Amino acid sequence: MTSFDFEGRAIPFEPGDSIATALYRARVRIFSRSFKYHRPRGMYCGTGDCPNCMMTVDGEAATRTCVTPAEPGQRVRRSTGWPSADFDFLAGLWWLRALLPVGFYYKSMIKPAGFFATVEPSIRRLAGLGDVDTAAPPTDRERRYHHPDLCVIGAGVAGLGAALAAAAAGQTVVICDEGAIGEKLPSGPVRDRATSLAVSVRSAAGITVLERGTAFGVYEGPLVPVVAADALHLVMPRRVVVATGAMDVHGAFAGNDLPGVWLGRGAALMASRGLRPAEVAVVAIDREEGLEHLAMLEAAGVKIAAVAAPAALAGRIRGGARVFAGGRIAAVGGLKRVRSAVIEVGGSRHRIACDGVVVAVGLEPRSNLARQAAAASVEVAVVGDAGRPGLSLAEAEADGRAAGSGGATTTARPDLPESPAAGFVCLCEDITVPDLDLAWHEGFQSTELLKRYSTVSMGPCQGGLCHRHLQGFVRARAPEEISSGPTTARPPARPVRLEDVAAGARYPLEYRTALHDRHLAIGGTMEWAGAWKRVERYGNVPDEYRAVRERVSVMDVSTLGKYLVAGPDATAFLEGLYPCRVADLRSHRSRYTLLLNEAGYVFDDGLVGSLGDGRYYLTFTSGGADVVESWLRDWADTWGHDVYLANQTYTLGAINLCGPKAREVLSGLAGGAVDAKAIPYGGLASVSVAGIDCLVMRVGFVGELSFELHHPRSHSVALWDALLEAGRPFGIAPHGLEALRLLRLEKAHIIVGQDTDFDSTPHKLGLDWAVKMDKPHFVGRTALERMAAIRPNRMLRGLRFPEAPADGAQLVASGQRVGYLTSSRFSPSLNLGVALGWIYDDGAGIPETVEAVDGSGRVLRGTVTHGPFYDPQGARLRA
Amino acid sequence: MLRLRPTDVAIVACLARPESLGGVRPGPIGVRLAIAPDEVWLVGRLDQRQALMDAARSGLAGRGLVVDQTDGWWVVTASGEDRLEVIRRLMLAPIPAAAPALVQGAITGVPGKVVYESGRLHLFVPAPVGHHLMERLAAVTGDLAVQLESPAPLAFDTPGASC
Repeated sequence: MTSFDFEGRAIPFEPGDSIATALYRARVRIFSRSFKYHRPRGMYCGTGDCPNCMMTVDGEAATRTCVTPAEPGQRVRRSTGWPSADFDFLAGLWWLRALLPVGFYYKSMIKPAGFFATVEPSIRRLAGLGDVDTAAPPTDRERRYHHPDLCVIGAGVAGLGAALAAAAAGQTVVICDEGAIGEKLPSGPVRDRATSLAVSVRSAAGITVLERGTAFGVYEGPLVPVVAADALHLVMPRRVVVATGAMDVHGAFAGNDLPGVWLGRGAALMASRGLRPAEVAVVAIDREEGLEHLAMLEAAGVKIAAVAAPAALAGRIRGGARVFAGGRIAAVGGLKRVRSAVIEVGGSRHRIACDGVVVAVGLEPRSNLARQAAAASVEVAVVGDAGRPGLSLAEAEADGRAAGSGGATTTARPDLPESPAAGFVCLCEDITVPDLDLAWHEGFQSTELLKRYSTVSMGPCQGGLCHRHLQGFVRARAPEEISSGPTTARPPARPVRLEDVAAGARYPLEYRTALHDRHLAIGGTMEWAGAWKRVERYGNVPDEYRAVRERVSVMDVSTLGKYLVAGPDATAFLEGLYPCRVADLRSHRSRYTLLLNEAGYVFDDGLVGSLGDGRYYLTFTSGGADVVESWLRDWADTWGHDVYLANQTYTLGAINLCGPKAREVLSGLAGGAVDAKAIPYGGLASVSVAGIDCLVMRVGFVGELSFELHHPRSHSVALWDALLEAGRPFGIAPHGLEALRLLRLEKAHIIVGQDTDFDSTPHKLGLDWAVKMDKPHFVGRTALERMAAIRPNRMLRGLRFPEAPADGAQLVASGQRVGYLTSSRFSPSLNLGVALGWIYDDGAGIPETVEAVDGSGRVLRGTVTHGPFYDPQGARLRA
Repeated sequence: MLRLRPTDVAIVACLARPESLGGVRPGPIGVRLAIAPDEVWLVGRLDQRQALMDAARSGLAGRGLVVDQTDGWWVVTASGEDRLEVIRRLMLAPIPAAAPALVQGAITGVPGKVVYESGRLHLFVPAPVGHHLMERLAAVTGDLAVQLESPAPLAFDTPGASC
């Protein structure tokens, strides 16, 4: 016989055993300790609907062991109890419950200030359902997508019937069940019929069966996500049938949480596996099925001491049990387990010694998914016990088949119980009837408010056991629908791991340029730049910097956003879009431009270049391409312009060749003139470079003579190699982002998103020159016009320091905080620290000197400047 | 069995007003893909790139923009009886009922396009994430018998088709 490990013991199990049945057979009776009071809890429902049997299995917390198959080598342990679940010191909390009433954390431990923060970690350790193993490596769970005509949730008789009927009509079906088909059913005609139908379903064409696949929600679409062992299945059907069945109603009486109290179907399931839920049992039933439970219990060897049953059934109970016609379970006695039960009938109470109580008094539909669907406005058919509890076997199957064929089904609104008199209403959250009474008294007088305040129905069962009692409690006090109506059901209906929900989506999406492998081959360290991987450095940043300032360098700028704009309205379109002038842009000339939103705030920058034939070439920052595409198309649609927009961000690569020797390198490879007259600063030209057709743009971001070579991506490697080879005699070396940050900072060139905030206007950035307010219209103009009358409260300025403060250093003047640095580096060329930063102006003007205080506490005195630090006249980049 | 093959494809994008795109046809050297109301692709063999450009310009007759987008996309062709498993495991959009067909949507999280033919399908993703598609294909087809083939030129069952 095979076994698994349970807290150091080897537990044998039989074929078909769940972990819980194997443990029960091994005489384990306390399966967990409750959430708040650490009360002992035993097996209860046997169908995965309650929290009692949750344990940690193979490191996985909150595993419902009654529906988890036993497997060799498993490691199972109870998650709560100190020092153990069998003997838990914290069970004393039950006797201190007067100090821990419902919502106690809102009322006590709040003074002195900070006290609750001190005790909260302890409370978290004391409560809960187990620890998540944060050291466990993530599993590589994938996704599967399904688009069937029909999704059936629940593979009982009704669900199987629905699947077969739909398949017979030529429809495709996905049917799922959180367990194996039939495993929650005790031996008998229902299980036999389910097994027979399952054979047909498995062999039917067009039916996909997801056994042990838990549907945890019904979303708009509709979308039914199903977590299974192999994958997260996203099922997007045309129709949904909910056949999730029903469970026994959770009895509300004193002692209803003691080990030894069973729900009817759970007890019958155990009995059908030859396990006695009790030696001597008191049973309460209210329907035909209850008689079957009795028979199964007796067949398993349980002595039935007493039965409470309706008069219509009482006469059919055989054997030596005392029968209380019209009676009900009023209370259960015992400390760590059932010792007795009290049956109340006709005003009198009868105490009966027993070690088990079986409650089969009503069926509660598993309605969570159906209610979710209603909340999401998804029409679903609810069939079988889930729609009308208590259907016969034939009725349930017919109901399912009707729904599968597309016919109408009927759902019965369940009768609500009377207000619960005693006991635990919510087993998951340890909420008793006195807790609800207190909360009601405190003013939380509806199902929704009681739920939020007390957390009733917010535990693993998500109201499966307690929701009807919550409604009954409220209705007895406030019968209006608005108060006593059902609470909103939200996913997940069953506990799911975040890792499962993220299946197939946790792979970082990395955009790479065509030169990615080249960078790695020459020692490039990559870093994230938005969704792209770019080179941060090749090894020695000062060397890279010097290559640009003194010799020649190359940088992969293929990540830039690149657009071709053409069409009859292209010029008018761009004039309306940009704050700069476009119409007067000469052929093969470009202009730096800001991109403004309607509020006049800068959200990107780039170049607009005229190709001379009514076409324009636009560039944007690397991280902005996707946003800009939406922006371009939105405005084109809004204005109804006849323009053609071609995104070339991925089609073209770009390499920036820069430095005093750049032209010499380029001229050795170019098939045309590249002198200052042929391609002046701001110019663009189509030139063949190393035999590769390039659009060459004179740019100036790094402050040196620079040629951006835009070319077909498939030629990036050849072009890069050719430039490095041609530049070798000139001491060429590539540079990465870290060197770039210093180079552009020396020119006081902004990086949008680093030096700008969401509300940075051109004026605040000192970029008024980039905005032509005499244009009649451009996006953001109206807002800028209004803001011109308002003195800005802060401005972006350059600053000089003897050394470089850290990025983000705070700025202080006259003892007051006046701003912070957005970018800061030490300039080797200038031998001083240069920075950009925001400086507040409260009306007294921008100070001329400030102190920068960084995180280490270092204080550096600096001066506020305006304009580039390096080559202020721009002679080098205009060479 | 699943066969995967990187495919060399020429892609010529035509952008124009919808009414101007009707005359854009690839002839027997490619297929026509309706990407958007104002965008059509002519797709064919790499060595037919210039011919496709010429066909596009001829079809537009100066009423739009023709752009060579060949380098912007990475294309993989899937064939074999398990080819549709690639879609079921990587793409949210439903599989079309008939071929040829074009479906656009996220493929393993990136914007992509799938051209369905009777016995194979061609997956298009942006070139910068071509490596990602190959990695994900390898990850999700571990339980299938996969044959990775050498890159080859595009071939369509029905040249001249439109979808």
